[in-house]
Amino acid sequence: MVPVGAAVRLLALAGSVGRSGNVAGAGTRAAASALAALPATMLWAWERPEDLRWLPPEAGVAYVAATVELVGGEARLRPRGFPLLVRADTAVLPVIHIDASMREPPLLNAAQHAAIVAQMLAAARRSGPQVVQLDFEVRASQRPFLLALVADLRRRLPSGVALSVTALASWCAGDYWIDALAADEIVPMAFRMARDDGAIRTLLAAQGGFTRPRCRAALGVATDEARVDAHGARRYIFSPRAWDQAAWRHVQPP
Amino acid sequence: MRRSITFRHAAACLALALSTHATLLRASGGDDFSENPFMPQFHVAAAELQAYAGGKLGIVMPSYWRVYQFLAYRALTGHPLAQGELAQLGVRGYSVGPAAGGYDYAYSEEKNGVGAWLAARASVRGAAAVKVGVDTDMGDYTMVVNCPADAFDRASKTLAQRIEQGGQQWAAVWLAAQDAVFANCSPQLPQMRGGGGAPVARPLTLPAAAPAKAPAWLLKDLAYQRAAAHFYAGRFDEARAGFTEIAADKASPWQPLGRYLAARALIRSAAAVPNAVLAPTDARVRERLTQARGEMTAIAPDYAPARRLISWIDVRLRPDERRRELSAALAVDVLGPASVQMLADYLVLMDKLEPSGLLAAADPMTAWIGAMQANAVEQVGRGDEAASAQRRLAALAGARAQWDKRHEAAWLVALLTNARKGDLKPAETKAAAAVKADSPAYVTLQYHLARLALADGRVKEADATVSALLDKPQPVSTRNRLLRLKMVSAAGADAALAAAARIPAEAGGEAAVAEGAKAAAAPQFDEDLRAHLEQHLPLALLVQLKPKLAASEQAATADLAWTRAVLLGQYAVADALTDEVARERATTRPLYARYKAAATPAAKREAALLILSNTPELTPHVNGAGADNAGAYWSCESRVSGDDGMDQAMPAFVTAAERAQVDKEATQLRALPKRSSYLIPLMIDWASRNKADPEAPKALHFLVASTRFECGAGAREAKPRNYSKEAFDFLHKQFPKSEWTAKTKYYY
Repeated sequence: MVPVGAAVRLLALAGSVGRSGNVAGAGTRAAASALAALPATMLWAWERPEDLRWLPPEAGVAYVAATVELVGGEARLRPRGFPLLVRADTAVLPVIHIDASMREPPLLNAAQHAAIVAQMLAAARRSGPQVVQLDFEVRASQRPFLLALVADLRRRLPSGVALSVTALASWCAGDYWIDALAADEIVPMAFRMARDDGAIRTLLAAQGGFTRPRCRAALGVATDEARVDAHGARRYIFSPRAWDQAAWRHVQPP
Repeated sequence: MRRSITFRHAAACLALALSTHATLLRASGGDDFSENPFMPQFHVAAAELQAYAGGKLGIVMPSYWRVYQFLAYRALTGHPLAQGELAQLGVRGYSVGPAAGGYDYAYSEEKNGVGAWLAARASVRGAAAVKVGVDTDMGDYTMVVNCPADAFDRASKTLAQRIEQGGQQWAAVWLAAQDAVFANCSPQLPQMRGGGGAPVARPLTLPAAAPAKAPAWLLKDLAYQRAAAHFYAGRFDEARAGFTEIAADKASPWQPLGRYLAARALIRSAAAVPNAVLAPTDARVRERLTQARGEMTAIAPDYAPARRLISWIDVRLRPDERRRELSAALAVDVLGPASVQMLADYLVLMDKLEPSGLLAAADPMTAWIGAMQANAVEQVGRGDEAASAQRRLAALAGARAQWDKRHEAAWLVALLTNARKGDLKPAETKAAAAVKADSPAYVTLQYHLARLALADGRVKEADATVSALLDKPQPVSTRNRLLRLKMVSAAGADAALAAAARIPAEAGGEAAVAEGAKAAAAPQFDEDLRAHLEQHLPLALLVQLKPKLAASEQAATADLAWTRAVLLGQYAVADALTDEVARERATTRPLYARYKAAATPAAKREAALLILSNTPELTPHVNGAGADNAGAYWSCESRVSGDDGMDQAMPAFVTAAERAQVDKEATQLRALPKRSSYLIPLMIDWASRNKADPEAPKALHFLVASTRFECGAGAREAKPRNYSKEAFDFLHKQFPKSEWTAKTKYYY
């Protein structure tokens, strides 16, 4: 039978998840090698049409594959609605972005946990990436939920798939609490830092990056804020607008 | 990628004891989104929405999302929404209509219809188990639901009919064919590597050929199933040909659907054009959609789904014209079920326009929304102030031209919303003042008249206007916004402080959740109270007014006044506050006793130095004077200034002499270097003279610790020194055996 309604864009979801080689905890050798294979520069491709076929091969793309909106007791999926065009040799990794409602703070129940896990596993399964990323900026009271979620994810993802997790910059500075986060890579986001902006920029300039071991491997920056450099860290770059080659040139090191 | 919201809650502050600042909540989802719970900047509070849509607008804010501007326009132009109309719209944040399906749609067989279909299949004896999916990969990192629930529903109903019609034998044949159709819904594809713009070749599964002696109905169904299989497999030319043949076959039970489905195959083929979203003007896309539109138009009079798809096509094919059509209808028509999609489309189409395009739009509602939003506070980030100022002037001119031409209240609202000091002509002011209280525009216009009067220095007039509005029932968010004006316009301190207590317009925020119902009953305060206390009162007046503040605000105010007093050398003022500052600080209470025992200014200064060194939260909270020092002094926290500038405005009750004193004290405090540069040299000097005092290594320890992530706010130093290291070195050299030295492992 043929549907009468219009097609609805929806992200593929996993019926089954990786069952082989599940390893609890971060830092497996296979995950480390998946991360090592990732380019040193990754562009975040947010929820908008992105044509990145011009991107040189030394850079990769971390694209929002889906957003899970947590509202009260519900988890609502907003699958990627816009195309991403990349060359076949471009490294891509899917990002699952979690949006916690302010109006109806999430209950952080088992269903919401399951929804996020399902999306992450589906993203890992669907396009065969070696790295998947979770973007979930939690409030203080939500930290235990994130810790448990990431631990569960790490257990359930295949051992060869690395788990990357974004972090507020402050979590890698004075508000450090992520030591037990079972991620293979933590990406402190040194942009949109609001009241912490001055202090953290001063710190990064003085120290050449975050100094906590778990925070040194990667750094998130934005095209529309002052340059932040960190020695040796993989850079994830956020653009508030669709990427173009001018924006790419703008973020190149001087 | 951060959201933040400032939520000030007195009880929460008490619980935190030493915090004098609003609780900064950080949630996920990013993009710097924040809203004031007392007067949400971007949406109408849920509890106020019905009245708002019905014409009791309160103050219409330029920063409101467009769906609320739409509701305001309707009310201002004489078409407020009835309760049923609003309910149908299902306003959610900045959008309307039901939320998209749950996260589990694609694999919840209950939600996506697969479960019911599998159950229906079981009615055919011996039917082998099959696996059915609903979504397929488009090859560009997006997925589509290829086979929606109604496809499975229709199949289930048809199967029941065919069992009755042809018995189990022919039903089994029918089912095998239908299984082949649905095998195309979610085929297994090779792992994707790179979108590249090339279409993904999907495998095709076709029903088997009709067996000999198949009944006529089965032959007709098989023709339909073959077309459907092509459709789901993305073979749209073949699908279209099949459905076109069916449309011409009057003997087929599917004939009435043939033309519609042939046109749908065209639409899907347009959507499948590589890069179609990135290049909607692609000739192939336009050609296919244009043809589909023509075919849908021909059948639309008798078929509602075709009408809906014409609108779907128009949004993509002729967006400007469609926006104008939608605007014209939505502005005046009674809203019904079809209006939800119309409004959703209208909002999306407005999003495609630049602000200047909105303002210049030919349809009045779009132009009005553009004028209202021209100078709105940015939802995300700081925005481009120069561009925003230019947009405001353009909007002011545009609104004035429309007002002069039409004399409609909506345009007067847009005009005053964009007016700043000296912008309004006397006739415009007079016209705004003449609008009657029963008009939906009344409160907004009166608010802006008061705001502009305040800006012009006509404070009494502003205060009278605000007071008159406050004397009448108002929506909570409007009342809170008026109270912010009242704090500035009130002639006396008592009236100003009375205006500080607020009720949140909307429940929410981490503090409220944590504190529960008990907190909800406590007095609550927006940022403007603390901004006025910190920025606009001289020390003497601050102390004088402190007893009049709510209990929850007194501790923070005592801390502020005590800190300023000792830094300014006004020890008599500090003396009177010392017990109160010490009350909740058990671990440092001996230091306050030492301060109280000090007999001379020099001794008090040294005792205060110890307290400040041990207590980093004691800061003078002086706002910086320039871009390099924009945060509150001795800390990098900055207050959300609101969207009306009221917390930056000097309250009217502060006299000229007191204002001069405010400036003098602020100048003195701003001359101090950053905290560590001020305190550490003094402490090293004191410690070198008091080596036997156990407080010396302790104070140095806390000073070193506090230099970690220290904010750089403070007067510029000619030759900045690393005082953290100097204190660290001094501590380790002079007090090698102290427990505090052992705890001081790093400098910063």
